[in-house]
Amino acid sequence: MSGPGVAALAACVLALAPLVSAAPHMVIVAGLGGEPVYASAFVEQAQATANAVEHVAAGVTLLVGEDAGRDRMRDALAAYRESPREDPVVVVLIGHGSYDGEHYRFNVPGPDPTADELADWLAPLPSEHQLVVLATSASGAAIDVLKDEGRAVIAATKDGHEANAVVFGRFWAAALTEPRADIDKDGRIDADEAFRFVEQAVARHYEDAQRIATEHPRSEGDIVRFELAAIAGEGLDATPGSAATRRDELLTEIDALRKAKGRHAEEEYFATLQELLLELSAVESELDER
Amino acid sequence: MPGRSRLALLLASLATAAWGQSLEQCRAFELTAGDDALSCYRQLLVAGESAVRAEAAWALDDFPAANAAFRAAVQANPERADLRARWGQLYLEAQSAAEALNLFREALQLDPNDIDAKLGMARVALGGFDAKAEELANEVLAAAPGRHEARLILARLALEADDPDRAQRELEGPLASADPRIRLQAFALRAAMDHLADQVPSPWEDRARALHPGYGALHETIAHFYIITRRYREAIAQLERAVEADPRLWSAHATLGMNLLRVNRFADGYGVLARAHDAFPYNREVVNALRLLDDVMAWPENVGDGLILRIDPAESGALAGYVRDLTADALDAFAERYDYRPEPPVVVELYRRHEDFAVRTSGLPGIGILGATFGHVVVMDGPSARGIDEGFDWASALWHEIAHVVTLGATDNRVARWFSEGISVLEEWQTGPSRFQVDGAPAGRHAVPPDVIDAFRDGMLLPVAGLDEGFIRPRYAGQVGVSYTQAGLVCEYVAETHGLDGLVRLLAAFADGRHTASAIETALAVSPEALDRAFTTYLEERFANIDTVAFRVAVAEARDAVESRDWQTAFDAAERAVASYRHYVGGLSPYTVLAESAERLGRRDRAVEALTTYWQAGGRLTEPLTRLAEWREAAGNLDEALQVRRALALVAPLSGGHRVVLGDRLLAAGAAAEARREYVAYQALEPHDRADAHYRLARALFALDELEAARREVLLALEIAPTYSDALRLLTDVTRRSRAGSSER
Repeated sequence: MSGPGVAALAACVLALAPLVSAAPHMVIVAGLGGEPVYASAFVEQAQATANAVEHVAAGVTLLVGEDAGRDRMRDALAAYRESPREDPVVVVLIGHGSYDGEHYRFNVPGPDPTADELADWLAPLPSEHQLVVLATSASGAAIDVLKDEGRAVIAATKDGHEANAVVFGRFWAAALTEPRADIDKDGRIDADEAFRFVEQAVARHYEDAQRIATEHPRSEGDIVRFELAAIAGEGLDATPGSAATRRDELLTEIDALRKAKGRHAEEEYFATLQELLLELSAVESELDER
Repeated sequence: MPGRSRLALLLASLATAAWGQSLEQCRAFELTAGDDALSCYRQLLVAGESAVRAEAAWALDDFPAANAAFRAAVQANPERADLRARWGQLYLEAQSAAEALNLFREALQLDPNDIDAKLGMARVALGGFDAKAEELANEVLAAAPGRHEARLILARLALEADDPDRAQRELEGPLASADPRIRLQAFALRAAMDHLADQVPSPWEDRARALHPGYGALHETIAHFYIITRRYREAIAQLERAVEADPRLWSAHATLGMNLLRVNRFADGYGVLARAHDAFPYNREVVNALRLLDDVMAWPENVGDGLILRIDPAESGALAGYVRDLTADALDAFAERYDYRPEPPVVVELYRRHEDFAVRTSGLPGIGILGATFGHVVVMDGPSARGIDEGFDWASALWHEIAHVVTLGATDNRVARWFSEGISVLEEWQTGPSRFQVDGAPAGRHAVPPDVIDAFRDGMLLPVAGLDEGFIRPRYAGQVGVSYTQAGLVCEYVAETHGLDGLVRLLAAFADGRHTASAIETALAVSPEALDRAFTTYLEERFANIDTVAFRVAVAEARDAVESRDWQTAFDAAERAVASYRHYVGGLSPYTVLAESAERLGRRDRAVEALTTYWQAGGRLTEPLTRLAEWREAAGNLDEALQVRRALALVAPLSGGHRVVLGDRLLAAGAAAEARREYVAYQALEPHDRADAHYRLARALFALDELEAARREVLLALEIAPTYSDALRLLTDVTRRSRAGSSER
């Protein structure tokens, strides 16, 4: 995507071919900035997020500027009412949020949607894998309202009382293109990796600035399963053949071994791991040579 | 003031009717029969008068009751200044100087002539090493010449200023006082004089004991002077005698505990402080210290190579390597220069919070210094307490403190404060990690702050024989900082004119117990006055081409121009500032502005040159150094860039980014051992990408042929990220080399 100016921004729907069968449908919204510095930052972060996810997502709806209103958000989500239930739906809200002691609201042009409304819009969707990312102030207040079976939530703040503007969005956008965020080096960044990257970056931001942290990110639900972005350099190719099959088997065995780590003597564990990894290395080389 | 002497200040206004006599009786019992005194005070707890109950509760160490009774007394008699003054004294005894000062001030507002309130303020100043103590004591004497307490304050001040003759004169009156409590305090100060002069045992101790066998404050007073002259072992011995003579002397218990900590006797110190707190829970120093110790004593000690490190576990992994290397390098450098190597172990403690450091060193938060050395124990702020971009170069500060370990050890703690500081400052300039080494300039000739040059030209520098006063009781804002630099310059002058051997001879003279004047005469064969004159001439020449006025004007203009993004004006003004005062890299340094404006004007060569000078002159702000490293790397000057990156990581050791980049550059340059230190630190900083951190460390270990450790690290990387292709290749290489090694064997 190119980077249009704020005034020229319109709702923009990217219909991208999915890379994997369970590619997520993404709705990304940049809310009202209030001040120019925030307005442009929110748009940039939303665009960066859209750019980062476009190779993984089944589709990206980016709402910015005047088009980022309550009704457009509702309609964007309603578009997924016919999607298969295995297709993840991911909503990312970037901007200012508020909490009046009862309701969380996301600040957009026109009426501000509440967390309850957002939950109402998500509830009818068949998707069994929903993720809401709230990169806004006071967003912790929305967690209890939004979390549900099959729906995970990431919020920039621990509760509704952390009301200052957040830096979460800046680091969220960065995490999706940052190789260091890819903890398991599989070439993909899932929501858990992104969240942990942002969590640490936010904490360091306040430490470096020697300011008391006014935001403490939180996550609820199983966020690991949401694959959000692909990065260059690493990753598994879906190459068919016996070597690829053996690679998958080895990864399964390694995963099982890791889960059983506590039941092995340490040296035995590492010796077994080493043998599996050496074979994996050989298989990878074989695959690379093809 | 010593706790037991408080009754010497009993208010005349309280000495009325039956309970007034009773207070006097109790007071008299204290000198002879302590138990009778306690019984006496207990009877007064039911006195009708709040002020009397307050005094009785105070004497029985019940501070809350005393405090409540004083409050009631003041509420009942709001016009009575004397009650507030007495109440203030209670707070002073509980180490609550701020509250005490407020009460003394309130008393003086009610009665500007209240001598006890003024004495109280003088005591607060005395305890805080504030030069106002002398002024206040003299005001008391002007108004009430018979108040020997003021003479005692002046005598103590004189002794703290290493002027025993003046102290002796001040004590003449108190020694002849009819009040035995005044005489006791005078005896204690005379005994302290003897101890400072190594004339022990002192006959004054016998006289004090004859007058009051349980006068523990005698030894507490002597200990005070050992403490301020950094002779902690002797202080501890005296404090142990103090609490033996008077087990209820809680201030001595507290001081004993704090000084046991200073000599690294943590368990003993904790025990003493805990017992003191159990019996007397109102001393804030003790409460703070115990709270801190609960944390610090749980830290794992990092022991080895003659060094004990005590660092918060959260930062130990990132800092320990640097602390060990810096300390070892410093001890080697100083052993060569001063022919002295301290007996191991040297202890280094780093604190993450300045307030914790302050509690560790003084028991109370709020002190201004950033590091302290107690013999072989170095205690200082760590880099997270105050960062390099706030002007705190922790590595240079550690170098400074290790120099103290040497000068204190070489003289058995008898070195004058100014000389110890001077050597430490000089070593920062000449041998430290941020030393001055500008191409084409005399090595080690650090450009001192403009304020010091102005102070010199304004005649504000102290004669060398009195330079200690600039540290202990500064008389103008900034004098402590000026005194540090002056001390460094004096040492620089001595080294340039007498050689390093001149400094070594001075150390030897101090080790012989000589005071500054005598040490200078012995070591340098000149009088202190002659040294002052020659030093003045030296500074006139050293500062001859420096125009601090033009420098400040140009710096201000350059900074204003940067604000308005007028880069040509900023560049020109920064060039003028540099011409007015070359190589200055402190707070108003023009080099960073010069580099920024040169770069904006497309003059990269000048920008690199400016930042190179900045770096070589000891400038250590992270942003300019990062740019310099990047520019040098972009130009292919990898060796030079690596030197800058070393400096950068050292001053910002908790920045994972700086550490890992340095590790990569070192490994590429073949310095695998150094790279390993950086990667160990990076891993300890718990980066988000832990697989990468393990992998990088594994690479360094592989380069060092530490195959088993490399295997473990790469397996840890792959355990997190099994498809991490670089790590898989490294595992293959490690395995291959290990098996080849096994088959060869």
